Amino acid sequence: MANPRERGEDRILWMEKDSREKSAGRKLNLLLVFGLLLLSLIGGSLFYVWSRIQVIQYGYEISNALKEERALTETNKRLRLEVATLKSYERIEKIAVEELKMIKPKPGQVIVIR
Amino acid sequence: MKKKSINWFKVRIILISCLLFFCFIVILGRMFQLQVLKKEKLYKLAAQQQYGQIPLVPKRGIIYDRNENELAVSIEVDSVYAEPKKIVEVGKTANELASILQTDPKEIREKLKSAKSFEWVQRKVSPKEADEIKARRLPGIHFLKENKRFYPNSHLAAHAIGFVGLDSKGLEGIELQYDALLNGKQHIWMMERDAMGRGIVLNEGPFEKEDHHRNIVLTIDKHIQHVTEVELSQAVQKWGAKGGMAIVMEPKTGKVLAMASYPFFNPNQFLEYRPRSWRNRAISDVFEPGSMFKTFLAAAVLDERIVQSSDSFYCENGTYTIYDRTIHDHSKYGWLTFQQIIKVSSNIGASKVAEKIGKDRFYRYLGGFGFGERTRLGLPGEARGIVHHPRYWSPVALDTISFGQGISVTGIQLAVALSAIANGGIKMKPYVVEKITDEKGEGIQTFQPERVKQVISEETSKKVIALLKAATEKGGTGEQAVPQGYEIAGKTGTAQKVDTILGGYSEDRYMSGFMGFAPVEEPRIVVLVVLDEPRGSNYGGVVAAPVFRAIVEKVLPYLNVFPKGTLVVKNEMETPVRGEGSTPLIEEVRVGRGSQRVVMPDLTGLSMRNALSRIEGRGLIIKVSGNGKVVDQNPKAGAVVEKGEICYLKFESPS
Repeated sequence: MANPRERGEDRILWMEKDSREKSAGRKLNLLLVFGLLLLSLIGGSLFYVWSRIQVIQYGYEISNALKEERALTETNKRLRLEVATLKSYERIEKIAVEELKMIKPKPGQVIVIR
Repeated sequence: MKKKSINWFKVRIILISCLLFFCFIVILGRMFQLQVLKKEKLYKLAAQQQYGQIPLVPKRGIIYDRNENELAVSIEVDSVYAEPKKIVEVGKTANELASILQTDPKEIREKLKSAKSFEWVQRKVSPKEADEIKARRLPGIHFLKENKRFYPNSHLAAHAIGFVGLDSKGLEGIELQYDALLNGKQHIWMMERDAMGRGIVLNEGPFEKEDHHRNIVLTIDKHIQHVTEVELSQAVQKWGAKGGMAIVMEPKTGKVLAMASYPFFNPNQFLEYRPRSWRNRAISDVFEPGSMFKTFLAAAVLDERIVQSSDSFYCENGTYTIYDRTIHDHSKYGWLTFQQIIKVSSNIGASKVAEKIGKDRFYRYLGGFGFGERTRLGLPGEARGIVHHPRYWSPVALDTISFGQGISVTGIQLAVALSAIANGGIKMKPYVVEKITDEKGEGIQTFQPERVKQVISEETSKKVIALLKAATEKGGTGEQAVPQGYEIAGKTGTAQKVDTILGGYSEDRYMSGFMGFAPVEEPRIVVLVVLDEPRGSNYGGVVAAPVFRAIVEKVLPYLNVFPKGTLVVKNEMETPVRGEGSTPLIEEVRVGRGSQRVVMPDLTGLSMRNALSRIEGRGLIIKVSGNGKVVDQNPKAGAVVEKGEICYLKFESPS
């Protein structure tokens, strides 16, 4: 009977030590899990926001690219028109005859190369 | 006491509950109002903010020639408009605009003062003008994109192509005929916008939106058209004529390769020309064909075997009276064979031949050749010509129609009918549109040559061709139509024009024409040339025949039909020139007997033309490779070669 306290103490000590360790570990675990969860949540939402920003960014880029495409197509058409205008026979003939002093060959002067 | 003790706490709770409930009801009501009652309107308002609408100007297809050279192209240009209410300084704005656009400031001021909320200032301005106006940043002045049609070759083939009005609507020619196909549909490009109004693509973009406009590829060939126009305009100017027309057709297929009407107009500024210059004379003008028509008389009588080319007729020494009419020849003739009648173009002879075939049979052939009905070649404004039924012919009509008086035809009808003769008697439907392609250039519809009917037998066609060939030989009316190195067949025509004021035929106003085809053995082109009221001379053989010759001379080499005597040399780019000393091992080459030897000249450094003309005529077989100047020759200079030996020339351009 002199030992019950001791024993009890002992027991409690043992028990306390054990439970403290246990609860501490559990708390740590819980904290870890919670922390991870929070982190992943934050990370996830950050990622989500980032991806949305990216989508919007690309949206702007696409819309600019489309505008550019239209402008370039128009420029291309304009240039093609210019080529067609420059290729006009009337103009070429004028340059050939007036500036370059070329003359049309007589039938006998033509040699055909096949 | 009991009654007086009011539980204020409860009352407050009830009051606040009521208040909250009331608020709730109000919110609910507002929600109902916004989400249900005003839904449509708000959606629209939101869409207006969230979506940018860019109206895409409807595109218009391109018109190409048969080698896909652009003849009509649309590009986007700016149109300037004003919102008069937003303009700050009307006078200053008007002056600035007028100085850039080079117009009357008064006119613009009127427009800017208008009470309307939208007013065009100037449509379709040049890019330079637009940039200048944009740089000034004038308040209330804005731009809209519109399509403008450009014709890069200015007047080339303008009558066939036609033109479009300010609203991209075809008004003439192909532009009118194929207006619905050429024009795309109006699209609106919806794009989401952010709060700043910048465009942003979040969903599917406006990709693969088809426009459904079509491109048109014509049978007209830019080169042939150019040649035809140049020659025609030169002749019209030379003879001081009122106008003219020319058609070039491919007889085998019915393709119209060129179609020109003079005076020309520039479709880029069609408003600066008189409407009568817009008229496509080749299909819209009817005229009496004159002696050209004897061709079809010949076809009819030979096909019916009533008359042979060698049969003789008495030509009454130039004056022949029948009923109330007297028919004259330009020279006095006695007895002529039918062939000679065609050759010298005797009207009296022709009417005597016509008397043999009779009205009804002749009329049947006229119908067969297509006179009196539209050829339906696919251009608007085609005339039918005037061919009455024989029932209504006056007694002398048969005689006069035989030489092309008392009947009216169009240029295209004559070209088609002559093509039938050139094509072994088979009449082909003429056409100007080769194919229709979609916006990517892939063919949707291709038009094939369409055979209409066999008008005369092949045998007859050969006989007629022989007659027409004789008419262009020495002593014939069409002598001046023959180009050097080719054989052709054709017929001249000179018709007095009907005097619309005095009635009857005019003494001094003529239509002079020539129609023919070349080369005679295998006709590649049929050409018709008609000049309206030439001065100085009126004979088709003098006025129109040289135009025919000039056109044929330039067009046939382009179609790889070369005049006789042309030196044709083979370019053996692929086969390397053999090395020194090695004799060419070609079996066909026979070594001469040593009697005809020539000394090989030094050709190094000469141009191809000079080199070839130096060794031409020495009996050598010439083979060339490359371009430019001679850099190597085999056999070497000074070597003795025999006739029939192969001579290799290697050319290289100095660059």
